[in-house]
Amino acid sequence: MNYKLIARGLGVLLVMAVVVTGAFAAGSREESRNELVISRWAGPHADDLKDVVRQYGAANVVVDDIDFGSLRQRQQTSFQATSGRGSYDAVWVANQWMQEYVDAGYVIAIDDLAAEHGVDLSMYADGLLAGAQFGGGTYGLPTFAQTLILAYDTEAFERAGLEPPTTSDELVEAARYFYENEGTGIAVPARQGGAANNLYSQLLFSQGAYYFDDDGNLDLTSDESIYAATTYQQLVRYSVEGTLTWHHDETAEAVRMQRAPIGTVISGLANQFSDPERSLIVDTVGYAGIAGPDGHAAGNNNFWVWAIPANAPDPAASFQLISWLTSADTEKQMTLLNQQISAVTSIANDPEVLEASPFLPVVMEVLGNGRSDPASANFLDLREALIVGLSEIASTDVDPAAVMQRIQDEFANVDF
Amino acid sequence: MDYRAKLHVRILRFVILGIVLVVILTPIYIVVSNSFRPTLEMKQMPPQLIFEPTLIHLQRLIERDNFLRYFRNTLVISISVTFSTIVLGSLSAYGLKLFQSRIGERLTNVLLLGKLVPSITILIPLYVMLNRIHLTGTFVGPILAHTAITLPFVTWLMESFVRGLPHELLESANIDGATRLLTFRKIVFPLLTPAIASALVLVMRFSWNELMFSLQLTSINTYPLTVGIARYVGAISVDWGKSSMAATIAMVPLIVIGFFMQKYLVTGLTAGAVKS
Amino acid sequence: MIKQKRFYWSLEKGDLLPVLLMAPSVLIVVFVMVIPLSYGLFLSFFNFNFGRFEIARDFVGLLNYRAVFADRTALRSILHTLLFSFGSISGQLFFGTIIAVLLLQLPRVVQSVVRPLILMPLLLSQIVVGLIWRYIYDPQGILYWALGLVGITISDFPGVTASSTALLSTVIAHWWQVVPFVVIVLTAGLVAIPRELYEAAYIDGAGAFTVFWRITFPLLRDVYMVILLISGVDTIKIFDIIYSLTGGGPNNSTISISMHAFNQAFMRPNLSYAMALSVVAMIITFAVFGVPFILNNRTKRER
Repeated sequence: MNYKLIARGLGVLLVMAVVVTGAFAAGSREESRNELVISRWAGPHADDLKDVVRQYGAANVVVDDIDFGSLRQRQQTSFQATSGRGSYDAVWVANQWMQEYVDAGYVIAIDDLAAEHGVDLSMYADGLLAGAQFGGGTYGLPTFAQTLILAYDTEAFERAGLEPPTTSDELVEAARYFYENEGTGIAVPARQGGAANNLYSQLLFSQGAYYFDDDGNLDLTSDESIYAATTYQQLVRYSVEGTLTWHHDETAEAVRMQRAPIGTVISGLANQFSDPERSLIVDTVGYAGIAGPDGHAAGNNNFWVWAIPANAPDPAASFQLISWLTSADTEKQMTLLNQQISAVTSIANDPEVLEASPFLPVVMEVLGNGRSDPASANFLDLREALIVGLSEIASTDVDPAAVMQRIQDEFANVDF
Repeated sequence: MDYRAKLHVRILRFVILGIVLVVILTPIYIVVSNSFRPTLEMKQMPPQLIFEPTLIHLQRLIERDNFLRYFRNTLVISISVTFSTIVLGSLSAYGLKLFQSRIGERLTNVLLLGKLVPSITILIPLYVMLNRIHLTGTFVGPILAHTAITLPFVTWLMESFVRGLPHELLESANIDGATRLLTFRKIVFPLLTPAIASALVLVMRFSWNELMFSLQLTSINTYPLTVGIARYVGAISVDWGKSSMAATIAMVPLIVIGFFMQKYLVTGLTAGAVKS
Repeated sequence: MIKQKRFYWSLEKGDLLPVLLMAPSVLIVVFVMVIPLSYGLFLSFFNFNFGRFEIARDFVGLLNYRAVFADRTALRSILHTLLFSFGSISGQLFFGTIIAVLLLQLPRVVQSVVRPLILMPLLLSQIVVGLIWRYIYDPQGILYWALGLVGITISDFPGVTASSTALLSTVIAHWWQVVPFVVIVLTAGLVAIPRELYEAAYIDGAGAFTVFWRITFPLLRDVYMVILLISGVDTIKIFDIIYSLTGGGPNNSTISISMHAFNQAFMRPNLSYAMALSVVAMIITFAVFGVPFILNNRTKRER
């Protein structure tokens, strides 16, 4: 290779750099003039949302969907950014994060904007809207309630001569039966992450208990908590191979693909069971709540709030977008596409929606009995500790009571 | 040595070679084929070597996920980084050679210390600093970081070439009245071409593939491909079709460059070990 | 050329031109590496927060460093990083040597066909490598299907699903990518060894292993040293491949220093603690590989 060739090569590189950068600079000015960037987690629901937001007329909506595990970090990073350089126009916030965001001043109150644009906040379910209200201000519009339920293949249960489980003991028994006799088992999320925490907390809530005792002190060593952790460990023991790497998506997939006759599914993914492109049990799927020993099933409800970051370049445009996103029309469209549980009360009674979402009655019952995790920053630390602890419970033979005792001691003096 | 080997030894060699090639190539085949595989067949075992290819993943990447934008961003970052390191690196290599005093040698010794600093140690304070001057989320962060990280190595690589040039060559140019800058342009730079080619492919490889800096310093308008992929394969769940297609798109250009510039890639990789 | 000891201020003949030539590079390195490093070191003695930071109020001395050594996860991450580094390097050298020696014994045509194929993993991004191996290690995936054919089940080798084997699994994925580097470098070194040496040895009736141990290895000792240092420094910074393959789990059994510091800095955010942690990471890198690295460069220069 001679000098001229290299010189020319470098020249070409330079020209390409200038052209690409120039084109980009021109392009990005073009784009940013009428572009709203929203932050949320990635997945099938995000893909559906991307299709729906194309109908939004006022601006081109770009969905920055990232892996759920990195979402909070990405949002926090964006809150530090200069307006217009990596800041978001709207963020989708888990209800548990709201307190922290509001305290830090990351998101702004929207009451004035709502009044200005004539949006009536009473169209949203009270319980959910309350999760976005702090100190008299409303900091976002609620949507997408989620909870964990069970999905199972009725055919597999008939074949085994079993009844679908209605209590936690029956659930463990069914898992054990399939594990020992059919070499399968239950599909539960046991990857180190929030999903395992979800299952544990619902097993706890279904016994009518909570993380705290009646006086509001942390009580992870109560009988109910130990029972929930032990049940979790047993479910993992009688689970199909590979659950230690699974989160919500994989457990749902395993049940859909008949690798597991029963498993937990987060309600946001339940719609995929009736999608013939993704599911082998379209006609035989059944749903149930994750119950306690007496059959009472209570969810660990979480929902999401569309909020406007303090560094959003144009809060009015952001508000228009989020009120469109949570309007009855858009929500119904998303519900039909994805069977999401909306915060708009009128949709839950819509016959068209009920028809499309066979699991809705179960989800509504569980949601109705359910509670939410506390929305304090300190609870996020406890949650991290529970996640690591549950991962240990799932992946080793440790005594669940010992793990709970350790976490209890670690957080005994923390104020939630 | 092989004239000595017996037949069964030769066969054994080919068998081992075959195993090595299968181990190296299967994963690449897997990711490329998965990017055209329908979602339902993704985990069917035994793996189907023949299947009906689908372009649905590519279509979704481009239409829903703005994947072309990430590709463009990677181009912007890696080309800027490559260009600036080559220019700056060759200039400073020549500068090191020109030093009349001992400083040059000492600086050369210090150069490679840069490689010992873990990226994370720079990233955290760099992020705080860039944030203060409102430059996070732009191209500035990754371009500066990649340039600073590769520059010492590129300078060192070029320096070992410049050092090898005979004094007579440089001196004779001086006698002819050429100034030292002219000497650089007319004599040194052309002779550096192999080093430049090596630097080009190595820096390109680094910048194209780098994740950690880009993950924290870019935003939706400036995400490169690696961050685009990281968005699908973070902690929780993976859409295999989409992420395999993204990975295929990310790796093909580099494999093509690496194939055509194989010789320079190899000299660049072996420079530290075998040359000096 | 006689090297002078004093700085010579002249654009045409002296040291001014080289200084100018080097200035842009030095500026970039200073601004992007030296200043952030010092700034990070400085902030690691404070309780730093965005927005509200006062030097007097937030000074905490060595508290962050003490916290590192009280943090069980941090200590585990240090251990994992060192284990990863050791495992990865020893495997690289072992497999790399075998493949390089084997490759040289093949006909030239075969070599030239095989070489570009072997280079391919080196050109991939680590996040892509992690992605590919995550698919391979999937319990319903191809690896367990293949192992199942010879009767090995997931309970015999749990791969990324159990704390006992997860780190080994990431090391294997890393081998896949980096062994080609060792092969390429060793091949370059092996070619330089004169054939006569081997012929003499074979005439004396030495076996292949003895030949390698007595002739090849001593001649390539420097090459091995450099591979060890380059790979060592790379492995001790490991982040991308773990990020995409295991995310640090299960039960934090694969979390590396870089990963733990990244999480602490940006997920929590706990910036000044993360800075202290990353400074510890740098000190470990220097302690384990830095000193031999510097010595090696110095002796090479003197030769």
